[in-house]
Amino acid sequence: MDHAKSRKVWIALTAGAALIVVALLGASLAGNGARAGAANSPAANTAASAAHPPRSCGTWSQQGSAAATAVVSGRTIRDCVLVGTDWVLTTVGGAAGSASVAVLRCGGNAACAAGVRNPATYAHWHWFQPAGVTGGATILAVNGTTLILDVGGQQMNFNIANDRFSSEMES
Amino acid sequence: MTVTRRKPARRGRRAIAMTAIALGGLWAVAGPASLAFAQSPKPNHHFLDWRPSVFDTKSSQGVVVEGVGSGACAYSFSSIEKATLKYVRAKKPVWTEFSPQSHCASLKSYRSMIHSLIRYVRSKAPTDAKYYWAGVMLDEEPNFGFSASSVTSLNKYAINQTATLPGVTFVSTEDATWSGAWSQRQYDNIVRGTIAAPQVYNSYMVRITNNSHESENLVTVNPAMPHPFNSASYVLGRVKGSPYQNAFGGKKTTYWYNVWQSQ
Repeated sequence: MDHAKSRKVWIALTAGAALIVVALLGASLAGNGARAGAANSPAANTAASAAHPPRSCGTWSQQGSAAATAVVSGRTIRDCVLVGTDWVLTTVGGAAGSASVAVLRCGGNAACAAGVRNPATYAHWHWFQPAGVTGGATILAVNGTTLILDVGGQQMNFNIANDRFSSEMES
Repeated sequence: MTVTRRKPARRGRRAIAMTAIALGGLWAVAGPASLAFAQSPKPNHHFLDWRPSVFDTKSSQGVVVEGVGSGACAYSFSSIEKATLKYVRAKKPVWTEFSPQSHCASLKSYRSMIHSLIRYVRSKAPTDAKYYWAGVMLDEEPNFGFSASSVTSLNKYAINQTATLPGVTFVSTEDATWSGAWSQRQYDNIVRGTIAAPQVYNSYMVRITNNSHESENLVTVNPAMPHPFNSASYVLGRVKGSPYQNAFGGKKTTYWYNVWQSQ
């Protein structure tokens, strides 16, 4: 009786393992198919050669890191982009009434704009908040030196050339 | 005594066997994505967003027309619908995105925009729209002035508007939340029934996405975010389930993710 049950268990284990092996082989083939599809796609080739991803804000802006905490304190980084040679951070949360848009100007300092090293090494962050508006900020789009932001539920423009907020309809 | 010693051992073997069968069966039926935290199949195409005044068919396999808030804000509704139509006629897979904000337009106005956009694109390019217009993408966030229930109702409206259309046109939700904002449950309710396109810019959104009930995600990545979230392959490797799939008039199904960019 015990032998019979053990055999059943062994058969079940083997069946389970076999299913996993079959699935792994299937997944491997599917993965190869997907890669082959990408390689054969003219659109994919075009994209690989033409895409210019924006510069990363680097590890210094990682939430919770000492460098980021020094900048945003209790706020949460929502977006971080390089616009021209200026780093721009937006935040959400934090103390009521805290500013939520920060700009650091690298000017002609290529190392600062490269984004690898904490740019606070080279220049200071400046914080901005539109008058009479509270709440976190999200970058919705960037058009030249104009950022389209949502600040506390209000869409507005922020021109980093003159640090001014505006509610113009088109940028 | 012998029996009492053997019972737990038997139960243990049975449990192992049942687990093996369950895991093997799950893996065989649902694929490795059901067990591993990585998009599977691996996405091999991406959408890239551009403001309406830009017409770019070269930089990516698909495009998102970045409409932002529209209404009383940028960009104008007519520029959004014209840009969408241009991509559709060029046979370029395209989403039309709005970021609904209470300061720009009312919920009723956004419904009206969605309705008008559908009517416009479908009437001007009925055949191409069927194959290349992915639909309406809504970027909804907790600080945009609308409540979770308001954006949920907007999504339901959009789903109903597109549900009966022939072809690929549907609704996606390029949403984000953060600590202290919309909860997991609220996020789940908001994106339910849409193609979720979560903004996976940090670990918080990885957790929200993986804990949601969405088996398919059009993962949105932002190459300007800090390492490692600037890497699409890293982000896609941390999100479980399947990517958004579509052939867009081609013979092969393609697997997609979405890239936000500063323009």
